[in-house]
Amino acid sequence: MSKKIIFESSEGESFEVDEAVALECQTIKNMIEDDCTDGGIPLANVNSATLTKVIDYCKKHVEAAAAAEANAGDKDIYGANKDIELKTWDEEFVKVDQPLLFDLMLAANFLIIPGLLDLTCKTMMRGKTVLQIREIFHIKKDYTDAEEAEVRKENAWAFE
Amino acid sequence: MDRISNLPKEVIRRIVSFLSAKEAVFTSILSKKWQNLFTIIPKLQFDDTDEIQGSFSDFVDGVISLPSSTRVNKFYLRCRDRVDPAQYDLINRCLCDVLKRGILDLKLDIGIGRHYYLPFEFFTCKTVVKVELEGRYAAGFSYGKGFVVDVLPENAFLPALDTLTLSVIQFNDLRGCAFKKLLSACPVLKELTIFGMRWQRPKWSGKLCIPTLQRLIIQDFHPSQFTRVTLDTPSLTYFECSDAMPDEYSIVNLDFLVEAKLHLMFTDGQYQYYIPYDGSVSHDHNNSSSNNKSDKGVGKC
Repeated sequence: MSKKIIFESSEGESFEVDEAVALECQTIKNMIEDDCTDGGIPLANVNSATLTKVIDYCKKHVEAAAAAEANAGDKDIYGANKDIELKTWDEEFVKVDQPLLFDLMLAANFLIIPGLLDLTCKTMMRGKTVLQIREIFHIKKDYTDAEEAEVRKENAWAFE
Repeated sequence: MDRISNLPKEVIRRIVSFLSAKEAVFTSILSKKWQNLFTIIPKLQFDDTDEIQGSFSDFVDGVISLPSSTRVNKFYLRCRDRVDPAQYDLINRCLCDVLKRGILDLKLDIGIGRHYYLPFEFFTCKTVVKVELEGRYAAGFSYGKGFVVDVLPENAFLPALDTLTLSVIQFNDLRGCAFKKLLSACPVLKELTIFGMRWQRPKWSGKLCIPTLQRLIIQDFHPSQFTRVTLDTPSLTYFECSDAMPDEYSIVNLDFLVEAKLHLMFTDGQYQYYIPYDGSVSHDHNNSSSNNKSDKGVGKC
């Protein structure tokens, strides 16, 4: 039987996962190597909802990696792996509301899960206008109108 | 609460590293903090006719060493002198790097001595809007060379590409029709220009079917080796063609054509069948009942 690792969310809820799944997080991997995971790993800045998603992500990617290894000879003639299914899964995975997406990004950054960090960063701002971004993220404009006009002028090609 | 501006710098830079140059500009006007975290280069260019430019390999080193959050709007590479095939690898490394920088406008103007193949990464660039590939016949290499497109990656997809110019290019249909695959990877293509195209083992069905295409300019495209050609381009408003013609147009869908400039040439075989005594040329074979807008030597409809 594989070793289990216990995470504890900011609400104090416990999550038991296979070690292989926990190893997807570089931060946890380092802790396991240093043998300091006994009695669970408290994640004070990751809430239960986010942690559930993070574990889902890691599980899926561990399974996918295992499946890919099993079919290692199954590369197509173009040399690309048949990872379309996983990509589709990833796309569905990040179809969440902005606050959760944001929490996932922070968790991926903290736990060091490069794939999840890229996935969430990629999704964060794509295809949004300046106004939409300001609104979604409550970003306060600290330019004066004249300064903003200057930046716009410097990059006039983007506003054509 | 503005959570996003308080993110660690590396995370902001990582977010930016997934944006197109245009989107990066939008984020740069969010607030001062954002503007100072990354660089947007409006135009990155190497031109070997420019004497102060330095060596190409220094240029490539410079490009590759830019931080990954640096965004590039236009990339122009101009090598008029015949490029040594040993440098193709360098070109491709540079290209692969630039393609990850949110590029919108790409122009390669290269004197090619041997066949040059674009890297796979080119065919999956999500941001590029305009592409000009200009192979040049360098002195002493007058034919059969240039850009070569043979095998495209299975996930070829250029979702933003709206203007494509192909000049001195060869399609080598090793696995299915590369020309068709390229076009079907461009779902929003509006303008297609072809100057000088060669076919190797052509597997093209002769069907040019691009629902979004508005402007089509072809010269030296050599469709005449395909006996039947279909032009299914319902959005086309401008059509310019200087070429030898195929024997027959099976279907011509040019319902929105406004302007056409045609300089048609006959192959020897065709002269025996078509006698343009009235100055117009009939394409009406057996089943070609298409409209005649394209039949005049130079026509405006």
